[in-house]
Amino acid sequence: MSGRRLAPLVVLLALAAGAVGVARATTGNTAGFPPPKQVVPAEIADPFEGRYVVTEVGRGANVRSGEMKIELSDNGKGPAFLVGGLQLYEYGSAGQLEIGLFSLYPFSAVSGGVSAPLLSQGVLQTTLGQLKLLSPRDETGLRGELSQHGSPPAPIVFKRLGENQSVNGSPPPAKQLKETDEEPDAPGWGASAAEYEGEYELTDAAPDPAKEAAILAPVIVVAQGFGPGGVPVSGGTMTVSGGDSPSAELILEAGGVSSTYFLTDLAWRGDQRVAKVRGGSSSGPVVGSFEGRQSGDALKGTLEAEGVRYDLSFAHRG
Amino acid sequence: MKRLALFACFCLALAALAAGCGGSGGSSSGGGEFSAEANAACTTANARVAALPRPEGEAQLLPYVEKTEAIVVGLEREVTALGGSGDAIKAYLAGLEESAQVLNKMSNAARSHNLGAVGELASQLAEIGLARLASAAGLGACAKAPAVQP
Repeated sequence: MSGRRLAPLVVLLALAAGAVGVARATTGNTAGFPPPKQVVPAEIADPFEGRYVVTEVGRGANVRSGEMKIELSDNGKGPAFLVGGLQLYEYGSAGQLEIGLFSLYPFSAVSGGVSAPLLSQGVLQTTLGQLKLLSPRDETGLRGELSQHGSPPAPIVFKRLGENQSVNGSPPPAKQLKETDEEPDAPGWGASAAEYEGEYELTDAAPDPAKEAAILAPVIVVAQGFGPGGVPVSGGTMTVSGGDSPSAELILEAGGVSSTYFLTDLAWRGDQRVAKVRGGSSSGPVVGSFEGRQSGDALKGTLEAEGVRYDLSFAHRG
Repeated sequence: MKRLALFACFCLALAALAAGCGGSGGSSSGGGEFSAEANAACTTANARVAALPRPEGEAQLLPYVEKTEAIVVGLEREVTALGGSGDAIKAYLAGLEESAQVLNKMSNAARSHNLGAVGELASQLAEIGLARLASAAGLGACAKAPAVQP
């Protein structure tokens, strides 16, 4: 099937008997939609085409599992446009599993990706929610936000299925992601200051791509900060202090520029580590945030500050 | 007397030739005056780039890239107009031209919110190695990165 041709779009998925208490379901009807008024440009739309299975979803969405199909329809009447179908196995108010079948149409370009309303299927289509999908960073899947019935958006992660892959109509349960009330809130980055105080050394320093870039160095750093890989950090250290207000001073070398950030409001829960990022001093303005995970002496995370994202790996040297 | 005059002319010619060799790596650059003016143009362009407010969100990315592109295009025109010659100068100017083209693509990618392409184009910019080309052309100021304040 040509990727840009509208294929038969109602795909019957054989459900494993008894797996979710229903016999059959589909990813929804995606055929017959007219070209939308606003067509997502091909360079944005093309990477979304594919079949997907839900692998992670925010607990608040009450979704057990699901599948999605997104296609490009040329319809013979204009530029190709995105149209999709989404099948969700959802927990009802009494905890029972229900199937939700939605059409995703029309897609529109939004900041960072695309968005489409969840339309009910049938003669009278009504909008039951919204799905926002971020432009994929690679071929493996998609990330986005799902909102239904006026509920707050919940994070959702899809894994791309290969041409010959199938879940046979019984997608595996998705990992339930923690909601905001389970965010780290214990002060510091561990049960005792002795666990986390001290010097941290950057372990994944990379060659500075802007080193030989002359006048282009700043735009390279900025652009990489918006790209999927973040800004390559060529060096860095962090000193974490405990006490009444645990904090850290972080020095990063990136793009030929040394930047000092001050981390305050350090908090933890399990292996999660978070902090506010301030500029200038520990009492300076909040310019970003840090989110990471601790595993032994290794701390891996992402720092976003002043519109630039850095993926960081540290080793605690004590 | 005639020989002395010929020798004097020869010395003057040598001195003139030496004065014309401002570049390095055996390439002619059009003279010390060219180097000085090109370096001054680069210093000014670097200062303009350093003064650009750093984008703090995607909405500010496009104008930032467009302004950088305009500065690079202006620098290329200015250095070209100075009339330098030699392979190293040509290579540096070609590097500036390629940079402007990649920045133009980056503007288009930012305009269509294709941040993956923005990141890839950043790598293409880095591969040009503009500082190396400027150094080879004997343009020390052009090899420097703008002094952006963190």
